[in-house]
Amino acid sequence: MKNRLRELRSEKNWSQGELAERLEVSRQTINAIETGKYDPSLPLAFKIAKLFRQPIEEIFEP
Amino acid sequence: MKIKLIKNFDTDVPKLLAGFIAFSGLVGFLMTHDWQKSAWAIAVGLSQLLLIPEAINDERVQHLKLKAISVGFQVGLLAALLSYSFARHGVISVLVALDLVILVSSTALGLFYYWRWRDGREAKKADPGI
Repeated sequence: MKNRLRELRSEKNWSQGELAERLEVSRQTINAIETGKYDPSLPLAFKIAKLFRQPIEEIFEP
Repeated sequence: MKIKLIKNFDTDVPKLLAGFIAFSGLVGFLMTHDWQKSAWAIAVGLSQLLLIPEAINDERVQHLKLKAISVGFQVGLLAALLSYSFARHGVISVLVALDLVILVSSTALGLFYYWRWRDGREAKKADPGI
């Protein structure tokens, strides 16, 4: 699944570690999602969408 | 009182204890060469190391752990079948339950920590300013 997480994170000038802290996950998890190695669960996807104030479908696309 | 060297007291202390149990079992085996007496400590230590939650126990960690345990079980099953068939021909003795726990736990632990290390290395490469 493709996503715009890296792009959105860069816009906010956050490091992977900072984003990980805000989402209460590990830095490795953020990297795995950004590189498409791991698809987040629905609760985590909602959390990401809420953090960036964007609808889920604007961040993740199948 | 929390020791500063230990970052996450709730998970690191149980892990250290489990590691100590496994290590003492290994040392016991090396000293006595009695596998039957040492195997239980190694099995308890390794299985607890695997089952104690990580400091950051997020969904990716749980996903990797489950994947590692699944592969560990496949390896254990294959080893059990092979040992059973070889034991029938008298080549080796059949694996007992503790041997399988050790095999499954060590395979799963090895894979889990390798995948975690690989994730961390890739994360560092992707974002060196972490």
